[in-house]
Amino acid sequence: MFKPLLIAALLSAAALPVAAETLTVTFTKAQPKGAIMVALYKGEDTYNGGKPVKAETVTVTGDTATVTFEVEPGQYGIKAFHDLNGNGKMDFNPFGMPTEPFAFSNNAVGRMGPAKWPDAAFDVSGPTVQNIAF
Amino acid sequence: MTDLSRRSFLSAVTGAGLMAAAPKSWAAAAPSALSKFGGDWRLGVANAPAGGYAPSALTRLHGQMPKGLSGTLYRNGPGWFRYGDDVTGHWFDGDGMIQKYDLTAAGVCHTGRFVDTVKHRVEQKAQAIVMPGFGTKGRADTPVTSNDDVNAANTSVLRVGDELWALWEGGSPYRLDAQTLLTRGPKTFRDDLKGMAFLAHPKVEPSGRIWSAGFMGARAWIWQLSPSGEMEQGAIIDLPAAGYAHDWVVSERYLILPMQPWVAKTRTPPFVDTLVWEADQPIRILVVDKTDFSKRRLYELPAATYFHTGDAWEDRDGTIRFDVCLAKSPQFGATGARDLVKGIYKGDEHTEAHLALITLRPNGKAEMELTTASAEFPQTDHRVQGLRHDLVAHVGGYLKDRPGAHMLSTHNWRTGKSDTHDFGHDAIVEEALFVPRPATAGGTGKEADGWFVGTVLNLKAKATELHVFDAGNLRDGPVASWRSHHATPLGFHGTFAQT
Repeated sequence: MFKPLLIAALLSAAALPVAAETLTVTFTKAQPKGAIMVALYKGEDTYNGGKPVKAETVTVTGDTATVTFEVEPGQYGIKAFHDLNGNGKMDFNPFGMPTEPFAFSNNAVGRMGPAKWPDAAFDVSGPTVQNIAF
Repeated sequence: MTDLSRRSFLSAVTGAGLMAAAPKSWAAAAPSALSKFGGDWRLGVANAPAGGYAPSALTRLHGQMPKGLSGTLYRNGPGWFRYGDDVTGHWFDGDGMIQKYDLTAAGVCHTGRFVDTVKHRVEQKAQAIVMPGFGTKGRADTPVTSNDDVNAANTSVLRVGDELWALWEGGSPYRLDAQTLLTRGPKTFRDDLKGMAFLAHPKVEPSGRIWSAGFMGARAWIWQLSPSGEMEQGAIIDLPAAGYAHDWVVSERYLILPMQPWVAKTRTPPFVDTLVWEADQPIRILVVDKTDFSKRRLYELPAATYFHTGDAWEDRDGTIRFDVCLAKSPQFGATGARDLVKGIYKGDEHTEAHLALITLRPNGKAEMELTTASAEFPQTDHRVQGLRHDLVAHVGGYLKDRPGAHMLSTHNWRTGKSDTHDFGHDAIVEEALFVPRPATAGGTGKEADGWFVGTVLNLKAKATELHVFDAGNLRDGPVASWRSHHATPLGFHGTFAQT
């Protein structure tokens, strides 16, 4: 009888923010149109195929765009793409190659695929800034 | 974001139809490179000057520029192969360099420039071979974000308006200013088609319409472009096999895709290592109706491999014929062209291609007529692209102790006769293009009324030469010849823009 309540209590406790830090992500060298879709991943496992801890859409009207996240300390990675045509998704050509710009935290670049976690990972332990160029 | 998968990138880069061994110095390879003839064939795979070739007039050897012959011969080919002992993994992976020969009544002027590709820029900066390619593994720590990052733009050229497109086969055409040869960047036909593969062998109909294709495993993308190079339409078609195809043919009504049984089985670069030769499988020839891609026929012939076709035509009864250079095995592409950049040549008659005529009957039967003429770089009169032609020109004649052809020939399918000029064992003969005699110079418009214009690497003189032949008479030798101040690296294909 008490078990569900206990689980609910534990879950809500786990969801309580631990000292939130501000992560500021600034994108540069962007084309002034559409929106940048930003996905923030906590830890290697989620970066490599799990769900992002946060996701934001930033409208782009100049060559730079900024988004902030309030996050608990930890190790994070960012995947972003520039939705130039505003259709809400990353577009690919008929052979499966991306046709819209994409980028990763630390300006890491992959080799025929996404940037690898060791290259894209960064620590948040206080106010943190990521400058990512398209 | 999950779509940013390694698989889709790998598919695109390695499956697009492009070709490492520890590099060895020239000294180590010397015994096989220095042969009985006068020159050293390795001139043909030596780096060109990084800054290109400044304009210079060629020295006239004999003859005069024929009346009416005027224009520019553009040629593309790999021009950079090594940084010290760090050698590219394959001849087909050298950086694209355009040679431009301007022909006027005063003579011939040459200039050359590298295509400013991402690959060339990155490797020049690193002073190392780092990008993956047709037969090059590259370095694991080198970023690659699209197939155009590894685009060598080194195979052929197409003149479109005021631009020259430097063509590869696994990525976009690279746009160049046709006069200065300065690179403008990759051509994007439509935002949703950015980076799509575009063959080095587009076909231009007499109307000016341009057809090309791009390959990805067992699928092809068909490009239909206007004469000015703008997108008219495109579509994916399914192929009967994931066979490698470097070239294809286009007749008046059909797109013809010969899929050789050299089949991509994996996705790990370099591309050539993904290909498996299935000698027990047929060459499958897919014929697609230009006006309705769903209308298709499939023909089969015994296993054969090819790099280049000539041209196709249709008989009145619907029979399709095309000329092609067929070999028994793909060994040259798989290993022979890898050895070349290391200064090694192992002659093997099984790798030698011979001129053939393939006939596709309306009743579904296919025939292969193989000649005894060793042949590569087949060329026809492009005014009748897709229409009946009798004459096909090609290089041929191969030696045991060095790569490259030493003869230029024509073969007439109607008469069965051949016509040949032998440049001798010190010459490596490159592709020759047919240039029609203009009406203003008495041209009749008939096939072979014009010239063949081509280049030859003279190993003894250590210089590239340009020769002009009367198209109907090769046996008497060139009517005029000029010699460059440079030995330019061996090229692949060109185009002639008449003025």
